[in-house]
Amino acid sequence: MHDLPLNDMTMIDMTTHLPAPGRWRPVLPATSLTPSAGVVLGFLQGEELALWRAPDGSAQAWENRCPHRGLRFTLGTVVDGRVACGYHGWSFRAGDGRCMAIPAHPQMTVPRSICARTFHAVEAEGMVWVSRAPVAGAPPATGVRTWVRTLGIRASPASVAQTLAGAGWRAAAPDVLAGGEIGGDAAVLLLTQAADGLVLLHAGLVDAPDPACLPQIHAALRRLRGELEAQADLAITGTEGAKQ
Amino acid sequence: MTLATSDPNVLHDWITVGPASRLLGTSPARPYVTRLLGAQACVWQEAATPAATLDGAPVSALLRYGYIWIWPAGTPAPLFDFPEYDEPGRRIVDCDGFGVAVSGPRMVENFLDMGHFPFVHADYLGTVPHTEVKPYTVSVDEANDEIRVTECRFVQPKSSSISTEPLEVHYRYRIMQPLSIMLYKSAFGRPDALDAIALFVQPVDEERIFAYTVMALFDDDSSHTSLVAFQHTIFGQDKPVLENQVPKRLPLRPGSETPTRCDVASVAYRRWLKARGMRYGVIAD
Repeated sequence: MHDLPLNDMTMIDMTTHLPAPGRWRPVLPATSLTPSAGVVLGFLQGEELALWRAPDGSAQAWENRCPHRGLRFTLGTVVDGRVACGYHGWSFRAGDGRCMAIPAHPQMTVPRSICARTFHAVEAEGMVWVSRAPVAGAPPATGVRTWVRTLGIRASPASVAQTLAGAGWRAAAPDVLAGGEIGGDAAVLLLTQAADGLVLLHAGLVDAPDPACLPQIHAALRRLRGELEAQADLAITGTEGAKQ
Repeated sequence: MTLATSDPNVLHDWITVGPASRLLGTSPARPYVTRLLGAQACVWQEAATPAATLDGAPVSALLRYGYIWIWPAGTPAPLFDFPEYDEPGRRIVDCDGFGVAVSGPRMVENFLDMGHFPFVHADYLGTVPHTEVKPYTVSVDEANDEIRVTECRFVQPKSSSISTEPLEVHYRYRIMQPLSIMLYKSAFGRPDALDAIALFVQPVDEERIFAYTVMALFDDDSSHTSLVAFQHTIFGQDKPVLENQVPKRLPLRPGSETPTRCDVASVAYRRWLKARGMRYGVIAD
């Protein structure tokens, strides 16, 4: 990976405040968490998350790894309101992630210490937000009514933020870009760092879109992705050129 | 020769590079080419014996149990014993291999594990609610430096390609090398006898392998195709699980993963690897 120089245009991880113990980061649209979807993959600062919806409707976000043998929870299923690991069927409850059953030993009391590693998750304006540490307040308001699409962008968060700032988007809050338009509609973009060089861009519209306009909205998002990736490629080429 | 590892567990032992059939039609000019320990391995048939190079340097090679074995560095010692391979009355079935994006030790641990049968091999090797793993015995055969796992029992709905009804199947395991393991299980229709299934792992590198199985069975009726297809079905169910274990290398530090009672064989295997100073394909500390 190429490290791009960070500057004051970088909006991810660059708030005007000192680092807080926890803060909400956008992970995925809440509509992704359906009973049929089971356990869904998401990302928090490059780390894999396993997300699912508990019987009480609350969003759950866990480390994507069973503590027993390290199988990704996203290969598991939601059974009777718990996540059952796909390897040995160990089942973990919502909330504290505690293991409640080990099928290989049906009579055994499961030690309280066996737990999935859990994160804090909250749903706001149709988006699931996650934090490692407790957060006092709510996630930033986005004003979004409709999440239209999540795109994967092959670029660093810094490059994406810089290109969007150059195109007139402003940082309304960390990871939240507002003030721009997609296909002529007022839009908000949320950024998730999925991996080194991969950003998820969640595009939301401030008003409910006219269905007839959806094709042009999607075309505009594809063009935006192309521009963001082209700018990232240019930056990398430029960096390499400077080293020679 | 400059291999990427100095672990004697993989340098000073016989390691397979695939079935002997790969050598058909090979010559010094046209060898069978594969990858072992992150390097290129070339093997060809020379008179009665195979010849091989690893990373360009000549190494000892051997054909045994229908497989090609390479001794990556130093003076070779005898290969482990697999007596069932030569036992009269058994039928040898080579199932060839699967490429799996995982470390060798994770593969061996999976082969050693009964608890996953009802979940990964549902309706074949296990079924809910028959999920219980009853106590079994683990010992280390000090003379041969092998792990023995005995007195295993598990209820299986379809334990082999010819079985038709659920059965409490008896299992035994034997770990001969860090990357070679035998499984013995009740032969269908021959409750007194145990079929033998060997798993040989070719470490392509620390996180990618070929996993080969050879069976020595009491079964004169099934077609070769159905026996191999059954084994491939089972392996095809394990592959996505193996490739989604995080991390890919087997963690040996106690506490890095959480075993339970039925994992005593796995715990013994991890301790045995740690005691041998295993570094290849594991997280040692």
